[in-house]
Amino acid sequence: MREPSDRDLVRRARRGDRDAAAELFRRYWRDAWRAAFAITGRRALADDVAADGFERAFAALGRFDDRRPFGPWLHRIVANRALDILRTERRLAGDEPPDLPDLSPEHGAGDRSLLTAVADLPLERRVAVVLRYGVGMTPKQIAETLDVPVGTVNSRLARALEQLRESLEVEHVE
Amino acid sequence: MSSELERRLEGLFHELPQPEPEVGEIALAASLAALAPSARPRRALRAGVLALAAAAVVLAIAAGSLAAAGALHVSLGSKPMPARAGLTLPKGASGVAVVANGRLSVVTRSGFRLQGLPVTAAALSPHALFVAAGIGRSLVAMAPNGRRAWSVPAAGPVVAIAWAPYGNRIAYVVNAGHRFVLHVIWGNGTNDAVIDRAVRAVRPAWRGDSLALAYVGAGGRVVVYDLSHATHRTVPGLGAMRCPHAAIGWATGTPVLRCIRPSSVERQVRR
Repeated sequence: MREPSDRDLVRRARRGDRDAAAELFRRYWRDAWRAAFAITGRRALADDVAADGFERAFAALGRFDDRRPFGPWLHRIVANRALDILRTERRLAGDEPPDLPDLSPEHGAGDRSLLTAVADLPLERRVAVVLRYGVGMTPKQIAETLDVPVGTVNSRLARALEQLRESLEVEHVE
Repeated sequence: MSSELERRLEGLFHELPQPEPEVGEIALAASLAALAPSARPRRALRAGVLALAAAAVVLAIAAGSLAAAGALHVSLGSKPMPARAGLTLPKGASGVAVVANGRLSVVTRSGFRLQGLPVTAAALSPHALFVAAGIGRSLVAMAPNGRRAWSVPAAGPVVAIAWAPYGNRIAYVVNAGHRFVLHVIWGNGTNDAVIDRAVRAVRPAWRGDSLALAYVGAGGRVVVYDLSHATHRTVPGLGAMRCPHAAIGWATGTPVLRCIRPSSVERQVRR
């Protein structure tokens, strides 16, 4: 039997169908959480941001234009929520070090350095990198998500890649 | 064309950790609770639960010395209440919140109705316009429509919450692993501050004027924190109570520490 499309699930969930809403949740929860983790760098924050993103998305389903894809809309909510929380937290308590994940054995020290370098990127650049290479959004989709011009997204990505290369080179020399 | 660095980034993101299964379960329940409340079918009210609610009010009134201004915190007997039982409002009450077996059920006069949300602790605001709950590792305030008004991350599960009678502050205790930490945050979710880094997991109690807070310190002594002067004062004669199920409240301007029966059901009625 054919799986229902996201649009079908959204329409059913709007009518109060909890099974449809739960299926939407199952389809996108892991990716939303990982995006939140990649942006915030911390498990506890990722738990909160991803859960909050879903709650806001479900509460706003009535206003969602179901001709558009659900995933990017959800990621937009999650990314913006992560940014809000990080900005608030930074204002109150300063930056906290990220929880860097344990990589599987086939990954070398270079990959660990790359993860550290991503975590050290300025917030706006880190978000652009996560949405581009982690979530797989195009620069145009990222621009819509963050409500900035496409040129700004391309600029942030270019500078982020430049900064990452520099960080890795410095580490290599040291 | 992708550079080597871009390919490495794409590969690395696939190696990111997964969310814990229980986090997903909690998030799913909370998300479903936020789903268009008007569209969700309403459960029939049960007469038996009405009687239970009435009994709770009687018990609450009997526990007068432990009642904070305007709020009654009642622990019922040791028999667990069904987590998803229907709830009705006792006569004259603004709202009822019950945490049974880790599940929150709330009914308020304003129409806020929420059942079965997994929480670690919960408290109604004055007039029951909001509910503050510990969800996962966050303190969350939910608006009457079931949507989150705000949330703040915590260092661990929130184990006790007390909303000040004026609604302007919330005191909450966080299980930070090797210790319990007392925080106070503004009612709008801003200005979170640590008040004491070593306390017991007992719900703090606000004085009626919302300017002082009584809590149980790590040594078992009752401490009063004065918000006006940011000072801590240990209350004489209220120390070292050896009671695993203690409750604290105010009576005639003085905090009172009492031992209560163990319970798996916690009920709060706002009047």
